Amino acid sequence: MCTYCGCGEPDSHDHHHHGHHSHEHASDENTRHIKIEMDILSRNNAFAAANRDYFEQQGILALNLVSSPGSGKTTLLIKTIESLGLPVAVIEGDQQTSLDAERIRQTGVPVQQINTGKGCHLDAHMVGHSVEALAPAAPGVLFIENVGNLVCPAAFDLGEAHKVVILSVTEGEDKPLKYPDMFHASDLMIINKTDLLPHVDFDVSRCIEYARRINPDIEVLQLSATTGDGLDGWLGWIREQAADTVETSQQAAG
Amino acid sequence: MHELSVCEGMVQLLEEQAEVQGFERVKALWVEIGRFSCIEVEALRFSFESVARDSIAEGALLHIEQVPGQAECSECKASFEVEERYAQCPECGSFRLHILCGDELRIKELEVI
Repeated sequence: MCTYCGCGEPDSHDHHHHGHHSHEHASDENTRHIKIEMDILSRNNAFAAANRDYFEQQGILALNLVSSPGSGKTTLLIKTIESLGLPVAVIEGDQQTSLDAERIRQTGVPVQQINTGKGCHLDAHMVGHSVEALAPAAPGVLFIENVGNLVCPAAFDLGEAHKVVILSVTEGEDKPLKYPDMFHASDLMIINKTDLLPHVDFDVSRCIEYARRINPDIEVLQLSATTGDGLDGWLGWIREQAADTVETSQQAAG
Repeated sequence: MHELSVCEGMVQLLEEQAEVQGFERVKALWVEIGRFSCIEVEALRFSFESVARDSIAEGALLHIEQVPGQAECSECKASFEVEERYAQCPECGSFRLHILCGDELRIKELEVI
């Protein structure tokens, strides 16, 4: 008897090659087959769509910041908050601790921490509840700092307007090829810590070429959050997106 | 890496379907996993077994159909199988590809009582 599924057939049948409907012995008389064709992420996507509707109605520009751990996301966020001149709210995602949220809170903007525990990404349901608690200013900008991870957050839509991937020059220039899904899902790549370029072996133009192989339409900005060099380009990008968001929400409201 | 939460999502969908379609138990399910879906099939099997425990899908047979990547070149319109997202068009060398298949993460069919 097959101990794998307890089906009573000899052990020789191969469970790894069951194609569609090939498991004939499972179709006893009491069972029925139902075709459902359901996306496994559909629950998350439904929450994401609700978040997106809310952001669009309110004129809130939601940006999902994704990167490896240590790319300088939180420092960039603090510098951005200090200079942006628009109402800002922040959702901080980390597996453990509220250290980053504390750093953000010191700038005086509202912040909600989400600890994912063992989870490797934020999902749209968590973000929806955080938005309720946060009540971000509208119109305004909501930054969602995702868990430092270049893999899983790519698959989970949070309802943001754009994913922004941050890569620092102390990481490899080949990260876009190693983690293609994230660069594919992002609309903007920020190359951070450019002040360290003289000290590291990082080829900026090659990095951009790799990113555009994955995503030919990705925009690229280079900056140093520490020195402030190049920060204006980023602030300008956000202001432009925020203005578009407000315009869209006003048009929708008639 | 997030196979566990994907399995939790699957079991939730099955429980919702049980109410809608009126069944008691899931005996087997067929899922499609695309090449670019970021899912490790073996990790998914392992996670499903533990997540399904004490649910209507406990002990259900999980049939996994892996969907290869298919792309169409946005420049020359050639279509071909791709192993990676950053593949190059074998006809014209362009990297500007439109992925047609490979993002699937879908429950196709259930066998229920």
